[in-house]
Amino acid sequence: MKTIHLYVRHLGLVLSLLLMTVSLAAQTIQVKGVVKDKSGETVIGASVQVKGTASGTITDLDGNFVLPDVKKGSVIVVSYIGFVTQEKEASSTMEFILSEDSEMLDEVVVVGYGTQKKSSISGSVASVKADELPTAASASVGAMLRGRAAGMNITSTSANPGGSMSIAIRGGLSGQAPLIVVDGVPQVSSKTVMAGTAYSGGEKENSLINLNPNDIETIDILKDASAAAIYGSDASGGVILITTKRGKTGKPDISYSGSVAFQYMKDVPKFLNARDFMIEQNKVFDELGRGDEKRYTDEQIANFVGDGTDWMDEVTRVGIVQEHNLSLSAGTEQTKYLFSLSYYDHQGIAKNNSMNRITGRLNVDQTINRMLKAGISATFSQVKYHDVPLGNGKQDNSALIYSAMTFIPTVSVYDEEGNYSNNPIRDIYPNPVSLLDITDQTTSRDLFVSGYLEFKPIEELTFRGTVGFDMKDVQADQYIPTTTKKGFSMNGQGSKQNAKTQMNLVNLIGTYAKTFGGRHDLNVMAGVEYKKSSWEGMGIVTSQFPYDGALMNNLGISEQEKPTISSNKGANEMASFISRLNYTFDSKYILTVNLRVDGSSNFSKEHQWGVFPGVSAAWRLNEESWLKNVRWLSNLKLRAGVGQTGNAGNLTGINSYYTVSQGAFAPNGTLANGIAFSKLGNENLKWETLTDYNIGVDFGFFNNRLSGSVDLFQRFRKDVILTRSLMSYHEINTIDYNSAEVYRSRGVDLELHSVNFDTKDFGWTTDVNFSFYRNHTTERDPEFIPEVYQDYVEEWGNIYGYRTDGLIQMDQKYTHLPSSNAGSILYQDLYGYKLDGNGNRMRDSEGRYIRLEGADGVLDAADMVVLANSTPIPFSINNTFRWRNWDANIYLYGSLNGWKVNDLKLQSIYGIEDITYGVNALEEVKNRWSPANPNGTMPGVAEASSGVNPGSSDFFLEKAWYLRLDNVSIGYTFPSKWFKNRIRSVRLYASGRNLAVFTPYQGMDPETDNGIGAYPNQASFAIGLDVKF
Amino acid sequence: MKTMKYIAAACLLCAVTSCELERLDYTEIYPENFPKTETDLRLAVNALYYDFNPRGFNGVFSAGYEGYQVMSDITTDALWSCWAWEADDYYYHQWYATMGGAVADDVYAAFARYNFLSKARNAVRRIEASDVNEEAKALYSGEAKALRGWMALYLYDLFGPVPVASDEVLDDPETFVYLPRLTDEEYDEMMETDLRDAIRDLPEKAEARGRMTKGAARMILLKYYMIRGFFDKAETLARELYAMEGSVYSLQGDYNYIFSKEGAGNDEVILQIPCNSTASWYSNYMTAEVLPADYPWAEKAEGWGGYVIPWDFYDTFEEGDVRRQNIITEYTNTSGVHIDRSNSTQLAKGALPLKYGMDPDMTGAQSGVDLVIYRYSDVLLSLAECIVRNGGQPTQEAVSLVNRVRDRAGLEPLSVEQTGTKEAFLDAILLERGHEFYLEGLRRQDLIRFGKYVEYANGRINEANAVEGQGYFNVDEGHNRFFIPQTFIDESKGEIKQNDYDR
Amino acid sequence: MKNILSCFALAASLTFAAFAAACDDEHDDIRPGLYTSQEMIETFPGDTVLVTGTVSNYVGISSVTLSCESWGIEKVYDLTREEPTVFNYSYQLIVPQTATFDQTLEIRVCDKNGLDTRKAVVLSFLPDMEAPTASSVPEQVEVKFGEEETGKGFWNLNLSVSDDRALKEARIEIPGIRFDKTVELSGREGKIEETVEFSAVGSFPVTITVADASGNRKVISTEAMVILEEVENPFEDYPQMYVVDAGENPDDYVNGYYRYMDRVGEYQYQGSFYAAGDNTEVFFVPEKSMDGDLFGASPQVSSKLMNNNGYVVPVVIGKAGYYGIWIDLNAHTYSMWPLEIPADVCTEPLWMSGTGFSFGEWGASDEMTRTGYRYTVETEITDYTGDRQYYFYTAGWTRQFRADTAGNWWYEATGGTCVTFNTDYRGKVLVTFDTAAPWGTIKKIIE
Repeated sequence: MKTIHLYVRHLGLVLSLLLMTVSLAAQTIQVKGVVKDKSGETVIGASVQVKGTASGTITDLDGNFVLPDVKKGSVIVVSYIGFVTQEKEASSTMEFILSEDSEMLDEVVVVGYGTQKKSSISGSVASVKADELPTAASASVGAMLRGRAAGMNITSTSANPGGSMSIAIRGGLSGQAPLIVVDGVPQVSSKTVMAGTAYSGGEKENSLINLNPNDIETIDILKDASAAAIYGSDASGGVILITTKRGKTGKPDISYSGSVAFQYMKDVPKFLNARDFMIEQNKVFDELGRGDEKRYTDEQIANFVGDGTDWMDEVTRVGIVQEHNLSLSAGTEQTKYLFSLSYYDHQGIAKNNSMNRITGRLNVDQTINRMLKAGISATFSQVKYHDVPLGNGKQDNSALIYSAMTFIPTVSVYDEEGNYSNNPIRDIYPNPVSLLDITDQTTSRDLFVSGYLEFKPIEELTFRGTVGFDMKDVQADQYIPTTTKKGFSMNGQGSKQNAKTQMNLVNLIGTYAKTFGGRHDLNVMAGVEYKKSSWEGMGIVTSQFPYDGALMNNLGISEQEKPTISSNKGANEMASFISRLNYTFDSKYILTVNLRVDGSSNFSKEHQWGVFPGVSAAWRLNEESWLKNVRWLSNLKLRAGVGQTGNAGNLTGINSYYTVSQGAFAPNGTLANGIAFSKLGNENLKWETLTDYNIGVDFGFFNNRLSGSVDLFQRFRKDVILTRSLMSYHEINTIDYNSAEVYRSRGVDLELHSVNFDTKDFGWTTDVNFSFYRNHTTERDPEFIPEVYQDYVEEWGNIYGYRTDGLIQMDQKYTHLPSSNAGSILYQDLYGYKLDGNGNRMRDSEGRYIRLEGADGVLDAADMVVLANSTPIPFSINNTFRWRNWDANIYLYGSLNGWKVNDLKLQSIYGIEDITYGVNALEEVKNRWSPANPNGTMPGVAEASSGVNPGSSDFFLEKAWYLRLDNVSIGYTFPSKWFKNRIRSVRLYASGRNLAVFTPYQGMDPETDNGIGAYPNQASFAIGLDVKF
Repeated sequence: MKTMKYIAAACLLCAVTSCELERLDYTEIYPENFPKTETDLRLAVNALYYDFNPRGFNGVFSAGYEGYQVMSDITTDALWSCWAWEADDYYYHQWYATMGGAVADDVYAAFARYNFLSKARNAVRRIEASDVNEEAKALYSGEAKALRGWMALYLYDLFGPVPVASDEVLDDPETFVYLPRLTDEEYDEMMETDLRDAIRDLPEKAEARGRMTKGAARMILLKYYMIRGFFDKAETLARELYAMEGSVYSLQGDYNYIFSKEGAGNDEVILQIPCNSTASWYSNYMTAEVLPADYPWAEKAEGWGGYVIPWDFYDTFEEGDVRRQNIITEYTNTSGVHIDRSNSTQLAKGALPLKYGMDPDMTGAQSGVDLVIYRYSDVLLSLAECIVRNGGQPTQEAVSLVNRVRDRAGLEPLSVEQTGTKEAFLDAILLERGHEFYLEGLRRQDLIRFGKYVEYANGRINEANAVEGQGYFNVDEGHNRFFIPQTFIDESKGEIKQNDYDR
Repeated sequence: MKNILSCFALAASLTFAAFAAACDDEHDDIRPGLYTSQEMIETFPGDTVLVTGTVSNYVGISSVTLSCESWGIEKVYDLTREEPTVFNYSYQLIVPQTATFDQTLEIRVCDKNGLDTRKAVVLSFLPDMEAPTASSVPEQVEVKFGEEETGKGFWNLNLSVSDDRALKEARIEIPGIRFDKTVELSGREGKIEETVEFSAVGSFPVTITVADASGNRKVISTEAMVILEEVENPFEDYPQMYVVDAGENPDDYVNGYYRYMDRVGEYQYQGSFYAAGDNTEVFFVPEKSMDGDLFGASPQVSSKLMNNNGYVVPVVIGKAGYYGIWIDLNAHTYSMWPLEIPADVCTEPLWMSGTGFSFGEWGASDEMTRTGYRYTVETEITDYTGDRQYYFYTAGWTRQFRADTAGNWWYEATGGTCVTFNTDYRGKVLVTFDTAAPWGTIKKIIE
């Protein structure tokens, strides 16, 4: 952002020199002068106007300005951003000393229920400017935020259009997603709705997907509890504050930005082609000793030309992503408004798989009179998904991608009669192309309106009332036709499910800000808030349709005796009292105290109210006298804070209730319902608390050319809500309770921003984000008994399993692997239990079985060891370049640590045996161990019947650290001269998304889901246009 | 002006903090508004029936080995299966307290149902506490008490007395009270109070097939008395049931009609599990467990071909016994091949007890024929047995009762020697019950009552060891009850004492 | 503005598409693969033959044609819509009745680049060597004389015949009554239903000749026995039956003379028997005595089974060997079929043990001498209180042959019961055991 400032300055200077006009006629005088700031520095590019006239100029490099033919007695006005405007009567030589406008010294950061200057922030807050984020080929702002803020680790869990994200702030200790607040009003979390019972599309992201990235001005992330405490019991997962763009004074500013991107599949695993499949199947039959069941003759193999049917090619296509945004912002002193429309359409690389989104936004700010200001921000978004069946189900449940990978390659898509052809060996497997006949549409609409009224009786005191309303409804429809196997067995299945969630909020905040005696800067805020969220939904699933034509739009024609119908409705309320004190002494010593008192109807009667304090202090060393005039130091601030947030968790355990059990009895042979007691409430159940300790330092050197911050944090999570079992003779013998377990997370976040070059023609800035954390379970419930390989204070992310030592060779036999023949994995028998006199296992003080070194002839839990730790180390590096009118960006993010089981190879163990049923397998299978290929590295056919799960060993465990080249873009801004000033700027850019992943992991993708049935990742090539009128 | 603002902010603040925040979720029915109406009571009782459903692991009357009827027959001479493994463990009584594997899981699932007694007790208290009309309360609390008696009978039959929580313990589930097993007298008192109330409150005829009736409650109590050996009380109760002949129950003319699809709800059946082949958890799987895969049956039917009546037991049937009609000794299969003992592993072990008739719209393993639990002919034979046990020697009435059942089966009356002495007559009754109730899960109770359960088991063990050289161990009288799983004993901190098992 | 952008996008996508298409052109000049499962097909007019195979190529296949002009066959699979890269064809070829032979079926596959591959499959004539078949007719058929109408005997002959190709005719000749009739037949299945009238008692040989279109013939001969009503003693659905060797004297046997037959249905029994020599004669008795009911063949109609002790003649087993026997008392019929020797038949040395013999309680007899599958040993029956039992075993008891206590079934087992019997005979006996159709006998040795 900084660079644009400098850039504007230079541009302004050059323009003014060019536009210097001839000095006016007589009885006017020539005014020459200089503009300096308080510290004597000359101010370059300050605007110097003759009041009441259009003529004016700006100061040059030395801060001088010349105004020819100025009428006597007129007033000269000098103004510049960040300084107080000054007016003086014209005289031939003038000197202006501008004083800093403390109010606008530096950027403003949104901190929840108000804003604060970045300099007076004492909690740990990370800010991201939305304009820098690459919007091409990214649907949700969540995808764009990956790696953009230290301590916020966002990974996309599946690569399908609008795929779901997991957002974990600081190690995700609380297990909760962060709270998303847009323009001061929290979003309601919408309920995911699944239509149908047999197939489902990929998981969808439903928190940030309905926001148009171009509407967003800034994103501020409250990382530690001292800052997040202001949001109390919702904020245990951290808070993301999103501020949308507001209207600006001046003539209407219309801007259009759009892009088109093409997507190609990447990292798709190679499966056997038809000829190899036939050869391998014959070989596997021989290895299994069932040579007589071979299906393909040598002559048939010899006469086979080509690769057979490429099923992946039949069900995928080139993906196309389009986005178009139009925004209009204008405003007078009184009324400022912004109006925007956006259209995003993503045709996924799987056929029939698409997602499109339409959003509209209107932000209006109206100054009614000196004391009253009001405004609304209203947005509507509609997202439509067309899904294909996804997932890792096997055999008859295999979905689109899994079946495309594994369907037999030696048959065509359609048989002679034109029906979908079957696997001739075993016909339970669905034909991949038939799965495309399934209709699966989900439409989710979101109306989000918030309005505020600001009343400023006196300069220091403002009252602000906000009313917020967020209504989401999701409608999921699905129809499985009789042309698919499952549809045929059920005579078609139609399903319609919908869910509506709504949130109403009202709050009143009073803020008192005053600077006493120039040195004591006090800002006190207090307020109350009431929030009511409600949800309802209904659904029907039925089958036995006479014909497919009506799809699921006429469920009445189903002949199913008792279709599954369901509906639900509920609401809960929340009231809060909020207060914050921010005191800065001599702009050097800062103290912030946040306090929130939350009451929620989810809590039980005794614990309906909770107090969440957050205290933080900061010391701005660079304002100290002994550091003030150190040239190269522009900012140094020490911060420390401690705070508490609550986590309602799955707090539904407080109520005892009955539920309906459908079809509990069948008097006279016809089904009847029953009602049974189903949950024992625990009155004194209370929410989990998270306590944060945070020390940080913000630094800036060489006039903030190199700036950044380092934060050290430690979090504790107590009173975790778990389930305890009561005496087995009780009607209901389980109950939720606050366990004595304590989870601890320790880590460090590092943010660096450096402006490497900033000359007139060339600019280069680099941002680096890095965070390292370790989570531990430090305390346990008294009755906890650790496993033999598990330590009491256990580190999260530990992977336990057997060590392996290659494959068992010919005629080797191991006592601890009774059913493992040659070719199966050699698991190592490292330990044995310590037995007492009459053969029972002995336990240590913590109740854990004791184990002794040395093989005991049995492969069991005693032989398991910690193989690796998979806690990620999020890292990202972003480089932006500017050369004359060109700009470029290279962005990489990833994790410097990771371990993952290569699920493709693991599945191929069972895939070898499935080849005999005509199920295709990974090409690696050719390199498996067999008597004919004794030094094959992949396990042979024997491993499938070894009775040990290879997934719980290190045989297929691979390093999975990765760096993804997420964005490479280059753009050119046409000089505005070309368009004779009617168009302010036109920028054309091309960008490549997810071009490469640098990782030692040989599975499909180290970040997203990587089973055989996973949605393949895509590389995108985009071209885009930004126009401002 | 300013003061007004302060006042407004203050009252908004106190309004917010003091009020009671209310949460509601309509899928959760809160205790304060259930049970309210008569339909609520019926729905509460319907939920109790669910535990007796005929499906898979969670139903008391499932057709698998864990089912009450199958477990009671396969551990006797009257039923076997050609699937070996668990079937042989049951058939040759090869179980012991510390064993693992499938039998241990079945026994665990059976004992774990003792929390049904608490569930039913709570249901009864909620029904009695609800403000619904007295007549409905009496009916539904009666039904709940009868169901509680039924489960208590099942638990006593398998394990003997089990721990039962008092009302006070039930009201405070969060404190851990370690309950011992009830004494036999306490168990008797519980059974009598529950079932006497049920007999008083239940109607003679239920409003729907499968619901509890006065007769069914009497039958459950009668079975309990027979197990406990109270033959005098049993006789009076049997005579009460005998008096219901003509008005409520009767002896059907055609034996196999009772178990046919058309015969659903015939008036010889006192208690049944109503079945519906479209709902998988309320289908009758007994047919599939017996039906060979290649046996000509309903078009979409599927057979697993497991259970058989061992040939020795089949041979005890007399010539021309009508009840042998549905016991198949050989058949021509769907591809026209003649199948008999020589070419079928199932028939080699015994005859096929295809007792339940064919349901034409049976799909897969699910048949819609009701599962029969208790029948009126059991009343006649039990009454005859009680008369002899109480009187000391066979009377004309007792003999005529047995001969009615034999006549219905197309057999000659008992011979003079069979009705001569008490011992001979009782042996004749035992054999007659074996034939009358094959596949109905009464054989284990009968053999234990006649003291022959372990004796027959040892006979089978010795024969298997001799003929097939198996290594089975012999068993003692402790095997009249199953072992109590160790997990429950540990949980009760040793209060629960194990049955007569040394290892 | 928007359309500028979309035309721009169009241009870009064209460049990408061109780039993608070009990359796999190096396979363009490869001919499609054609595999047929049969190189040569032997068939005959009217037959239907299944022709299967697979066509495949790197590029899409446009058509597969199977043609044989002389037989007017032109089957075209038009695959232009999907253009699959692999296609399995299976065509039901119907050979026309007018087909001439040694033709060739040309299979041609053509891919979308126009390249094609051809294969010729030879179609040769398969001569019809197969004679027609007919349902079995017993050697002798009983015709009751004077039953429906005095002075007449009616025999309704019904016979179902079939042929692998086409039937032509069936001729029935009964020279004794100058009966000669030819029934026209066609197609592959046929039924002959004739009622023949006899006006006198006696036996009349019958020959039926069935011919198919290619002139292959099947001759069936039987003998119609026209007889007066034969008197039969009353009988019932016994629980079991026994087959006995009519040539032996029951009193010579201590055990095993009466051979058990299972009851397999109402009035139906099934057992096995070893005929030592040709023309062995047997009877069937319901009890272990020859004085009560006794079933044999009717002296007039050898295929008719009847119960008339003293009137009936033994049923004759033509050749020596092991036979399964099935009898139906109600239908008065019997049938015998040779038993195959079980694969794991025991031929190892065998011993006998038991109680009540000279070798002492559970002692061992001498090793039995084996001829074929029959083992014999001489021993002596001595005094013994209690039931006498015996069974046979190989070295080390690896295989044992036992029977149930009643001696109805002999089977191989690894332990268990033995046959128990009593006798007041003392003295030498010859014990035989047959491992092919397990059965044990003890016969007195009369010096």
